[in-house]
Amino acid sequence: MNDTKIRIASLEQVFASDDEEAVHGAIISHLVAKNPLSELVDVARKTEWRFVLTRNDVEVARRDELKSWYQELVDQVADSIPALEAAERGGSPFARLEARDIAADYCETVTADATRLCRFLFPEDGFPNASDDIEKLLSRTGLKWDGAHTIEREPGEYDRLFQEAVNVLAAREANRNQRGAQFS
Amino acid sequence: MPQENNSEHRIEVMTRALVAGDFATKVKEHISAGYPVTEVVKVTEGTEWRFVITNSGTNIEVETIGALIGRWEAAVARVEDAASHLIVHDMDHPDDVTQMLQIRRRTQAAHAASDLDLAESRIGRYLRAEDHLRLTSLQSSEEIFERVGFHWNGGDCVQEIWSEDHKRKYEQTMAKARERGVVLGTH
Repeated sequence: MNDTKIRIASLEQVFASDDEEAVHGAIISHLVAKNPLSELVDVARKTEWRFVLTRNDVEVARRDELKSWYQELVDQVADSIPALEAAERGGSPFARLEARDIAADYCETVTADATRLCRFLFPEDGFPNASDDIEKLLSRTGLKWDGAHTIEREPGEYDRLFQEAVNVLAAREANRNQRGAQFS
Repeated sequence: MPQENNSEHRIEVMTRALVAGDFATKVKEHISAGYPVTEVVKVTEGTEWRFVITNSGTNIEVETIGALIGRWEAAVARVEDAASHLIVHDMDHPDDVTQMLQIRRRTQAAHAASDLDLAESRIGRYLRAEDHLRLTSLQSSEEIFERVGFHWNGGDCVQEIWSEDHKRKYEQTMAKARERGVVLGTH
């Protein structure tokens, strides 16, 4: 019983620090010595440290850092919206495609990272919900993210826009060839 | 402490669940009750099951190695498919339409490659050292692209690898494209 108390006290001490390596090491030693996982959970809960255990390793991260990182990625999506709106308001098909691709990239990044973050957090920390956050941000543009690489009004609309861009280029090229013929 | 006996009992319960098909539920109960991870290791040793303990020790995700490898293979297949649409085009004077159509293919190839990267890191967390042997036959996106003369920049695009015989490769892809009835630009 005394051993348990000492063990927990020393875990608490390490978890109170911001030394990632020490926390990482303490978790490994704790588990290698076959001590209960519940002790780690109880100690971590009272601190900023969160962890994931894989077969061969422990990944550790701080809750405050995970949360502020997530917020940065959401802001990145938010910052891409004005350009998206401007392009939709009267940009060429090329400008519209480009603005959408950039925003879709940010949507992907925030979603992939939200999945990673959720693996670390306790339920009571609150899980980030990337698809909700993205939907809210995009709502005023009338556009939707398809969950992968595309932002469009409805399924298939991006493809039509792309074809429009190809047609513009083809027309330009035909025009050039015609003019070339006139001068020769 | 009676914990040792309980340990045997818990291992037995989980082992039975493995056979009965409700392993995921039982093992989640085990972890959320705060029991030792070493017991889960013991139960899964020598089986198809792999796990990652998430949410700071309060949750566990279990997967069979077969399902994990299947997901990896699917991601590799998507890169292969995307790579098959890549064509070497005239480096000196590609026409706009061909370029535009290829930009899309190249972006798609880059996306498939980054999806594979993501799959690799997600699946990698579950794997044991010996599992990697089963993955050696799976190609990396680097190998797949190199075979068709491309290189992924790690971001949103793949680029042609410049080589002395670019002209020959270009003529080859054009011939192949014509065979397949693909219309390339307006030339």
